[in-house]
Amino acid sequence: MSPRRAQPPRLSLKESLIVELLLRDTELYGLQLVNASRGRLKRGTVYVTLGRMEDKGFITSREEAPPPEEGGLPRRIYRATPLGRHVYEAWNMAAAHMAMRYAR
Amino acid sequence: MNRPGDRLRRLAEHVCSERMRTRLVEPALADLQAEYAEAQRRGSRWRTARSLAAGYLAIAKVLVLAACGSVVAHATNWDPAERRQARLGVWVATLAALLATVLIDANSLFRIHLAAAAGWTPDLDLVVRALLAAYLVPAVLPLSVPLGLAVGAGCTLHGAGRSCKLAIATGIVATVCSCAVFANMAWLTPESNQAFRELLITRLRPAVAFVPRGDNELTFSVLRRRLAEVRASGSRGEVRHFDTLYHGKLATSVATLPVVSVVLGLAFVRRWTRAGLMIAGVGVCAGYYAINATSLYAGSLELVSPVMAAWSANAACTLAAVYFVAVAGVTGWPGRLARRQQSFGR
Repeated sequence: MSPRRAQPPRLSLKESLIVELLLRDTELYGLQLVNASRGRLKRGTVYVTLGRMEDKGFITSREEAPPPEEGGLPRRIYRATPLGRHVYEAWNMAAAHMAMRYAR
Repeated sequence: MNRPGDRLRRLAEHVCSERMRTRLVEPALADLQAEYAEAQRRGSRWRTARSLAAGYLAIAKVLVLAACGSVVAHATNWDPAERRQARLGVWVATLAALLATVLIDANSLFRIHLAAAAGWTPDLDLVVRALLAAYLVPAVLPLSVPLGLAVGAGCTLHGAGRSCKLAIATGIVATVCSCAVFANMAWLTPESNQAFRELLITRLRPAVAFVPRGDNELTFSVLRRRLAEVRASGSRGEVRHFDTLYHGKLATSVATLPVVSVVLGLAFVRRWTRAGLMIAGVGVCAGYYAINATSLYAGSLELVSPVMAAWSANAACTLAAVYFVAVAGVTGWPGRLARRQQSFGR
């Protein structure tokens, strides 16, 4: 019996969009991602997607203290990891390859 | 100063896990507070109200999605021992239901065979007998499915196998089976019963051209219509007869759930062996049908109302299940269960 092949990391459309936005702007808050996506990301689901992507290692996050005059909870700011960048580029290359192959 | 979401955050500290709070709830709340502060700085009331509404809606969505995710993750995360136990239970339940179906089916066919052997009716060929047996199967399922599932539940939930996940899975399977048996009783059984009658009567009495439907060959909707008709014009006896029949069919069709609930309750309050619980499953099923038959007879004698006659077996099983769960709760079931789960996992 052949050993089971390791599954390549998968990137959904939403995850791909998040990595794209994070690669463009380096670091963004969840709400900034929603605004930058122009309606393609929803405020209610973006945090769940971000949490899942953090588990997969595509992005990383840190807490940023709020301005002292405002107070409140520290905001979580996200950035893409090298793995996230590689997977994003690989998926984009695969998509472009498929598009070229089937466009003929 | 109280900021929007502060109370929600305090609530989340009690309700949510650390990971869920720091990864999902707090980022959403922090963004809400930042957006709210920004809107206030700009002095726009409409913008402030909008940011609050959108923020709270987003947090509600986050909580619902996270809760669903954790429930699914918890429900699908079975350890190997639980999987083994569940697989065995499914096999045993299927085998028991099949065996019961075959035995009850064979009993009916055997009576037809005896009548033919005694010369009262003409002998039937093998194809006709096979068809008759197939037509009887849907009518047998309301008996064999609760029996099979009760035995399967007894097999799954004995001894150290009593885990909450297995109990919940058994409950879900029982509910699904109840719905399936209800659909079977509502649409399939009346048709297959009628096909059985038509085939048998036309073979035994070839001169008969039309076989009218009997009471057991009526769907729920036809039965309800007939009940309304006899209520409008019929005698009191007829109304009682159709009322009992209608409710009796309804109650029997959902018998699986109360029967399995009793076995589930027993599994958690008694330290019986696997064989003991399986026998208890058979006993509970037999008890259900004994109570059902007795109460229907009492109903036919006008000792109890038709609804009570039809539903008393279901009510008795449900009460017994609630009693067992209450006893389990009083005797410290959750703690004991947790310890058992730990030992089961090792």
